[in-house]
Amino acid sequence: MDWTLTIGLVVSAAAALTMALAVTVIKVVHGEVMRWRGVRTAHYIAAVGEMVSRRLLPASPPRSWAHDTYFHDVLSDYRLLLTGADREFIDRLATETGVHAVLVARCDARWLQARRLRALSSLVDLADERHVGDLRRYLGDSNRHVRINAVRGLARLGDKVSIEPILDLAAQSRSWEAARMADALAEMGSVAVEPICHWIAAAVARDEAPGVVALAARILGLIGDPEAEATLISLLESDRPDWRLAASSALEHTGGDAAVAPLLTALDDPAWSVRARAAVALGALADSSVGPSLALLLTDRVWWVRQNAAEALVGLPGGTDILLDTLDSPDRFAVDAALNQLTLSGLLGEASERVAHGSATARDQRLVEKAAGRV
Amino acid sequence: MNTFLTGFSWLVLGYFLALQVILLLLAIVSGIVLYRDRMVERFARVEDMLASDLAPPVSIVVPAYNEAAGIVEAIRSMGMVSYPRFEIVVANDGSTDATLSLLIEAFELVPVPYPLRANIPTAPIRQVYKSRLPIRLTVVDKENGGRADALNAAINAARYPYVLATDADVIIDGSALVHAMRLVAEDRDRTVGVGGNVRPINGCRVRHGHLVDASVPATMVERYQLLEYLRSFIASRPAWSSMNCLPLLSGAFGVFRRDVVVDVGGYTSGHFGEDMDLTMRVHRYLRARKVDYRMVYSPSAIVWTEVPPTRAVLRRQRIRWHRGLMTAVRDFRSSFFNPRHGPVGMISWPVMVVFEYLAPIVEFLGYIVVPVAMLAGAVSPINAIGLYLIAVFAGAFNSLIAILLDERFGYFNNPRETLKLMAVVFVENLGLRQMTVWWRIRAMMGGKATQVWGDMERRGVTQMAS
Repeated sequence: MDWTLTIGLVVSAAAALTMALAVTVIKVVHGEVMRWRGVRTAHYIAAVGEMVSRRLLPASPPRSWAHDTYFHDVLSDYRLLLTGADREFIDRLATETGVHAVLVARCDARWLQARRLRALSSLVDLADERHVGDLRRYLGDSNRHVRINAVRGLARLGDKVSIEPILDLAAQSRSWEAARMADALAEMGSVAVEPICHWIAAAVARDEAPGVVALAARILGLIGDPEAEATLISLLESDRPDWRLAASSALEHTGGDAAVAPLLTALDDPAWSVRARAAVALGALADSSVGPSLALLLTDRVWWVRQNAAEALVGLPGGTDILLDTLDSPDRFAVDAALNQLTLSGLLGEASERVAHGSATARDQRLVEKAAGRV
Repeated sequence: MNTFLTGFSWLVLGYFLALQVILLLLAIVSGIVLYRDRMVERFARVEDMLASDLAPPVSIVVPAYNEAAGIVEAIRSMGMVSYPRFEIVVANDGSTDATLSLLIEAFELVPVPYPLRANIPTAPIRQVYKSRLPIRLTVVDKENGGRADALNAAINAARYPYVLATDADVIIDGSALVHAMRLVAEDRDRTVGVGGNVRPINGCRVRHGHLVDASVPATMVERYQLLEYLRSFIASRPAWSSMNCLPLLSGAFGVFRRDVVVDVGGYTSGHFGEDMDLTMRVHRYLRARKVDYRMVYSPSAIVWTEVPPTRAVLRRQRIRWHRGLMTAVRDFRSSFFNPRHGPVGMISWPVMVVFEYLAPIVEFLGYIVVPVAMLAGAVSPINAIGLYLIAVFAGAFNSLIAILLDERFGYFNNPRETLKLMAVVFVENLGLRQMTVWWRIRAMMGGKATQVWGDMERRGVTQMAS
């Protein structure tokens, strides 16, 4: 065997056997580390649980606690689980043990991103008003995970001042980050409505960030506060289809009587998605007076619009009568949409049972006969 | 003659070394991608998407043919997937067993006048059913047309803009969909497809449609396949994904944008590798239109599937897979080293053709020519054995990297399980590998076509409890 071959053989054998040894060692060490983490966490859970139940803070808590990520995790979990005085006790325990200072110091570090992010996750759960400044600072961080978590923290603390900068930040972010920021703002609830409406008005005036305007409208829909109605109606009357779509979706949850007229106008919108969403919103908001307008949509050229109109009619007083009348329509697409909803709502099934038991009304008979020809 | 034999022996060695170098590079890049994915999983608030109204809705499309053994449990298991907005569309492909009646009974299905959009032509539809239970389930009953045809029918009936194509005999991990759709939400304008991480379920314990304990399978054939899956899904695909040149989104878990699937004409009926065919057609279609797009892989989107437990079933599967690859190589020959097809044409497809399609030919000839060269005195036996051992050790090194990278998922916690798997790394070259090479050569030699509905005997994976 020549030298090159011998060297190749020795090197490849050594590499494979070393790797086999490394895999075995890493597997064993990883298992032991996981076990050690479990034991450590269990000890903290027991200790903190004992302190909470006795309302006793340690006279001089070991300094190591403040630096231990498992202690931070346990405090975060307890804070999320507990309420009232118990939660306040956890906040005091975090302050007394000096956890906040350690977490902020770790978040400010420029190295070990995983350790940094882990500290920030805990800070988001444990922070109080004193840390608003730190969290606002992290909105400008170069790491996107840091920015998302900072938004969560500010939203948890209900920091109204940060809402407009967060929406500005969302305008510069990728869709995933913007969506997570939107979720966080939605969790703030009604307190966020006024700043969001103000930001939308300014963005519309400046003709900036159209995508985030639509996202902000959806946040208003998720919050569901009637205070947002005027802003959403103004978006519904804009010339951008994505804004009109977001506004019609949001009005389903936030709209009142004032929203009905603009939504009825939106049933004639050139964008089919706006017509479809407006139908759903009217089904949720309006009374039987909108039935004839929705009935017209049953002959719309777009499948989704017909289906949504039929679904909205099922939930409307007198809507099922309109769907039954539609079964005589010469438009087969309208008949299909009506019959589909009558089947899915269970009305066809109930009518069939009454026909089978001989207790059917003329209406039941008509429905079953019409369905027999189609299903 | 001796010169030829010597030259060919060196060619085989060069080929094998090149393969191992490529695999090593892929494993290194995959390791970096897996680390980043782990960071995102821990800190990017992926779980927030579960409660978000902003999550893109998905239709899970499931083709079913004679799946009575496990269809109800499988659909129940899919219905428990953690995701805010999804529906399940099952296409019953003219099953001759009780698949449809079991579905009707279990999910209180009622026939509906559902006007199907025939975006993709399929075999005739008999009836569409919807569930009256609080589960968004649509069942399309159709004439038999094969797996691809059933998938197309289900895609026609899908309501949502994204479709997850999967099988009726898999278990989708609870968080798989949210992890896959995170990649869509991250870059919604560009993402047209997301592949999932397919893992063998053989040897694992399953209860009520959920995996409760992952173990290394009992037989050597199954362990060998587990190792193959790790090499492919853990140590290769993350790297291909990072270069946006995935040649395949697995049929067991592939999320596609519905409009793109419709635009390329859906799955190709009768194709033995319909998932690779669709992935490559999507690449070709979007490249031709100069669309800025990406098809990516999510290692955290885990789906469990049963792999052939015996050599006989494995043989049928491998012959079918290789015929699918042969058809794809023929159909996409224009992509081979084609710069207009981007990184797919210049990197992944040439690698696929040279090191996947041609591998059995080179290896098979190596097993014949090298012994002949030894007998003819063109290569010394010591050198030949030395070369073979280098090949074995280099392959083992790459396989061990795959096992190491798999540690990121935390399965097989008992080190004894890992040792079982590590043993396969070294013994796979003593027969198992040669066996699969021979089956692939058989596939190339032609013969009777295998069935398009797969080769597995349905046992119902959701009821597995080994």
